[in-house]
Amino acid sequence: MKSTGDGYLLSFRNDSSAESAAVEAVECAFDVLRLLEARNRHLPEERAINLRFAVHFGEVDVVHNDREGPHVSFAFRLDAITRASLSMALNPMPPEELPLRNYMLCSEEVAGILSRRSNRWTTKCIGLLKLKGFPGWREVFQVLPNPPQ
Amino acid sequence: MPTNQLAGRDGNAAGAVQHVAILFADVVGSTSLFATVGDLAVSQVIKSFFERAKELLEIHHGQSVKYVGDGFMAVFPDVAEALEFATQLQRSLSDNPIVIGDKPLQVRIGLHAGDIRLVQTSYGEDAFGADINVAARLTGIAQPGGVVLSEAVRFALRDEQRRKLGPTERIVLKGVDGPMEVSRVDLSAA
Repeated sequence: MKSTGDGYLLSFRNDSSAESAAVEAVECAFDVLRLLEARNRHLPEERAINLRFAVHFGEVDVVHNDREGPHVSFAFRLDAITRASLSMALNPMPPEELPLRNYMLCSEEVAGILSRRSNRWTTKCIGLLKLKGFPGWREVFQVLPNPPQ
Repeated sequence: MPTNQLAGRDGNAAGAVQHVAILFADVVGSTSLFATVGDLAVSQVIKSFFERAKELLEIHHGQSVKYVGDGFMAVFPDVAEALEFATQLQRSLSDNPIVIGDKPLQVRIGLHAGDIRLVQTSYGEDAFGADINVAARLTGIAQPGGVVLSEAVRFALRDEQRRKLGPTERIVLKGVDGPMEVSRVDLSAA
């Protein structure tokens, strides 16, 4: 786990079933979101903590306890996506449907894993986006509990 | 096809389905290229490119739908005009290069024909339809400085325009079920 200044980079690994790490990451993120929402409910607006999550799956290099490589960069690019990004997306969801905070996005790879390995979450395509540093258009998904709450 | 962009949603005005030519132009190697030049130089280059494209769009009755950082999407009511636009744009960039660093700017152009719906959204007018995704992915397989077009476009062309195309190639595009036949424009043909 590494602080990025205004957030954290977390990595999850599952040696017996590599893809399950993605499911665990999503479960962890939703647990945090739930705790956060419960906490925020009892606090004034200025003391609320709001987050957004981005989950990706791929091989990374472990360098001095840090994680490096294109898949790490990709996760950071995913994390930068907000409602404002949708105007530059193809076939975007209506922007007002993407929350401004406390939401989770994932890559196509993770969406595939979730559909194969878990029925607790659904994914909703937010559009095709270009991510800086990566060629071509990528499908990006919002991760939601199933059934949606 | 996404069903969340259909007519009447939240009072957004959605147009009727239109059959159009859908074109994407993407700058080649934008990331690495632009990493070596300052942001100001990059924005100047992109601005020159968009200005040149705009002039040609007007001539060929095309409408730019959106600009996406290192490229744009345009639609044309007429497939032949869209092809002519694409050819002229590539010729222009080759005869009259826009230089960045010490290299000429190159773009890939992809051209498809299909159904779209123009919708007024909170960020302006946008086009929706699955064929847009096809056009976007098609562009990725164009050569730098080249134009690639789908079979839907090829079918809609007249014989004399088809002659300007190379042989058809069978490819599989991401997000599209089944193989597609595409052709590349032979830009050396007059």
